[in-house]
Amino acid sequence: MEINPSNFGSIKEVLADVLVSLNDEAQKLLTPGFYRSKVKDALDELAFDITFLPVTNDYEIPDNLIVDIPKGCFNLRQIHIFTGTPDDVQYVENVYWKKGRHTRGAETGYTADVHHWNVTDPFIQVSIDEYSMYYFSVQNGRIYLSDACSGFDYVRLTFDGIPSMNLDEVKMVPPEVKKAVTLWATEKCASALKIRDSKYRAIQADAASQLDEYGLSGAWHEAKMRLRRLDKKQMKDIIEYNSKMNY
Amino acid sequence: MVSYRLVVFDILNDLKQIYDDADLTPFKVFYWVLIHADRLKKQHMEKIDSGAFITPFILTVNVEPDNGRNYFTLPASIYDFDKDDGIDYITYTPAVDLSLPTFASVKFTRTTPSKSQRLYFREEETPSPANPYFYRQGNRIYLLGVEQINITEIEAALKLSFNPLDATIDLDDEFEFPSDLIPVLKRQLLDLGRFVLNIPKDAINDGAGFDAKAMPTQKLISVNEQPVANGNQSE
Repeated sequence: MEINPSNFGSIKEVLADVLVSLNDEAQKLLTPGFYRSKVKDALDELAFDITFLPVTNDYEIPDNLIVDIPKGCFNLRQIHIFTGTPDDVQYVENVYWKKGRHTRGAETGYTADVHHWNVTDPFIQVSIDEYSMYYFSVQNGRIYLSDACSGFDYVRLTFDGIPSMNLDEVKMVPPEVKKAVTLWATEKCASALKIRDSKYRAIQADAASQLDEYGLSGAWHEAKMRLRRLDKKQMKDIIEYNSKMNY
Repeated sequence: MVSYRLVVFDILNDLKQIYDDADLTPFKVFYWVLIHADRLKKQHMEKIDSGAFITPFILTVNVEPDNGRNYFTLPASIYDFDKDDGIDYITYTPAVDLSLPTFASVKFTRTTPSKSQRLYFREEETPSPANPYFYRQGNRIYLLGVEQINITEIEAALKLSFNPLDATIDLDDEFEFPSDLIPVLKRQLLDLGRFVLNIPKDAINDGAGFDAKAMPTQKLISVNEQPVANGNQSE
């Protein structure tokens, strides 16, 4: 399901429920920062399980063809290079991942098990036009583009974002997952409090039961199913594409 | 409004101690009222979630010149509740331009010096002007996270206790005490008064308490070896 950021709620809306559940409306048992961090943790955990925050950014291609993986990115989805500007995209190429490629940067050559000079390799021989090889590898948290990419102006990265690093606290919680996030944060906070007072053990157990994080019958699974579901429009169009069957 | 005087003279009257040279003076009973009311009020406040006895103050913030720590001094004695709960809240003064009441937007969170190190481990908990903390050391309340801003005043709501050593309390001041507990207080004071009035006659060390017949009349003879008469001592 395509989520709508303008519907997102704030962390405080979740905390309004969590604090009542824990009987700590004055936020004296745990610090306000601790509570906020647990809500962010819940969103991050959910995003790692079922991505719901696609991010697309454009970066100028530097001379050394090395681009830092953006902060808040945890799953690269697409890499495109293009000439022009982000507002006036002209020629575009898809950049492919090359396994096992290692390089120091532009014009320094590279090593790989499958190298384009592998013309004498008895097992794997390649025959590709070097000038059309747009590919990348990732080394030490940085994206190394191939030399052929130097003729392009921008690289457009599309990736899954870590919510706590990409969203503001005021607009962070999709309403579709609010119940799961509330229960997750309640469970973790109650877990932190149970060492002080055993009554929080019961609260933790109740929240964990309703959440069922690793099972299929709780709010966590429900949230994942909601996010995974296609919009009706998408569903209808896919059926239409498939039914056409290229005829 | 109930004044201290009303309670004190009620007790003195019931104990028949309102004549000159009485054993109990008004100030002695006044002291009893303070110490007993202090205990009862503390129990009441621990049990009842009420704002009836919370007093807000606007207090001046000082800076320790040696280390730059911000602090303010408690204006009166407060109850030493668990986790410094004698301090209901600390926030910026209303002069700070915020759309909400200041205590509803930014509150200082309680910590201790030994626990505060962990706060710096995580960005969300790190002390800052938007996420400030306080800790108590004796009569001073130190502020954490506001070192980089010039904070001159602070609003603090305190749960004040009775201070028997406070010489500024007047008998005609308002007795800020839950009225439903006055019968309990009175009973405790009457018990204490009766007990105290019973003490003097029994405890004066003049020997009058001994019965003459109980005094030993026979010569006490030691069972140890008796000394021999002078001149017959053996070498």
